[in-house]
Amino acid sequence: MVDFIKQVFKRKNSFVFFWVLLLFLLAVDALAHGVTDGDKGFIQASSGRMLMAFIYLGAKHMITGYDHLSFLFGVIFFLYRLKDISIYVTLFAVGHSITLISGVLFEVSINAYIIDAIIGFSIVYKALDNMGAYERWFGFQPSTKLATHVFGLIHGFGLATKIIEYQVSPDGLIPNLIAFNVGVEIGQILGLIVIFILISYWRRFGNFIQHAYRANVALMAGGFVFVGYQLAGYFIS
Amino acid sequence: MENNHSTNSELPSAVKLLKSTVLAIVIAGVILVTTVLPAEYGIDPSGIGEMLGLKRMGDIKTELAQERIAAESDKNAKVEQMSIAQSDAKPTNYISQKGEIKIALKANEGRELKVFMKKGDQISYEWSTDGEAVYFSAHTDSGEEFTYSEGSKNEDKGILKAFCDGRHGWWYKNRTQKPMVLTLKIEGKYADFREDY
Repeated sequence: MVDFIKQVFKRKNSFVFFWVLLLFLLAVDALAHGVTDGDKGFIQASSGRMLMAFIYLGAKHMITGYDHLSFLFGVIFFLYRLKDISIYVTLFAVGHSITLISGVLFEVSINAYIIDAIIGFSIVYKALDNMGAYERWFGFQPSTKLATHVFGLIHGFGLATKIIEYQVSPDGLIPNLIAFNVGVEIGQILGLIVIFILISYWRRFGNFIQHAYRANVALMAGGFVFVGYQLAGYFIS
Repeated sequence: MENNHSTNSELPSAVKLLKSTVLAIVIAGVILVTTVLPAEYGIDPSGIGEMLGLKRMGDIKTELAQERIAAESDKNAKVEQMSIAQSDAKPTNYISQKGEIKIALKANEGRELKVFMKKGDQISYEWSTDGEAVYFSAHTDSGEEFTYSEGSKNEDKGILKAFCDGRHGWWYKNRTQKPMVLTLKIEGKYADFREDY
């Protein structure tokens, strides 16, 4: 174990990368819960159809929600063809659109801490997947497309739980929800463009393959932090 | 397959993967225990959060959340009370006068001082503690809600101009671990300056 830690920390570069990633995950914490009090206040004070407002809120939620972005980072980690990326992102987007809209309409309310803990687990799952753990441990590779879709469904429940908390007015609910969902997709695409550019540079100029394994260990640690943070919140509240 | 592991031999070994997973959990555990849990919830079993000054943030966050919940249920109760007692509770003796109230606040205790004023009337006020800063919120909750000022200080003075007819006051909360004494002096046209029970 000690040898292993030494080995991980041997390269200065990977050490720096590792901590930059972890600090990034922690530093943006204040933004983690997307829609803020001010937005909540706005939503509660308004009723009727407000498409642009909800598109903006959806995009803001996604861009400032590092839990969703971390998962997507894991998903596109080894993808370099735009065609593949669009297939996976579509599977994810269709998944969370289904549960976001149906979850709000049927008021499926799952405890926000529990659903966020599962979202944290999805990051851990994807990091292990990228490390080849399932193939090595169980002798087969579980479908990555199916996993992306299923976790999309779960992330959508997280979004729905938040929308329900905001007590959106029933007046104009459906168009507003669809607008929010469109915003989520826009935010997701904007976030993905940034992630994709960074990974592409890394792939080109850095020692991508050498660092890939450690980067996913770091991603997994970030996922565990998120799981622990949410579970602690659940047991306290 | 997008996993770049084309052959089985290129996969990391099962033991290496397990070690990495344990390492990730250990790192996550250390970060959680030393920083995230103290800063978010004031839970600090290792004492490191206290050293880093993060535990205080978590304590205040937890306290604020509890206060918000308490204030919400309090408000509902008060609205009911007020609608019953409003007509006979309103004082009529608005005159120019001076007043002073001294209160003792135990560790973590919150108390409120209230005064009745008519819309647009002014009083000058001056308060101070015998030591550390106290959390305060000067506001009115008579029908309309309005916050005049809010913060954490060990003294403050100024002019309060009534935003509406009714009760206006200072809510003080001692967030330190020591008792403190606080004195509030006011002067102007008002009625019924007292502690709100």
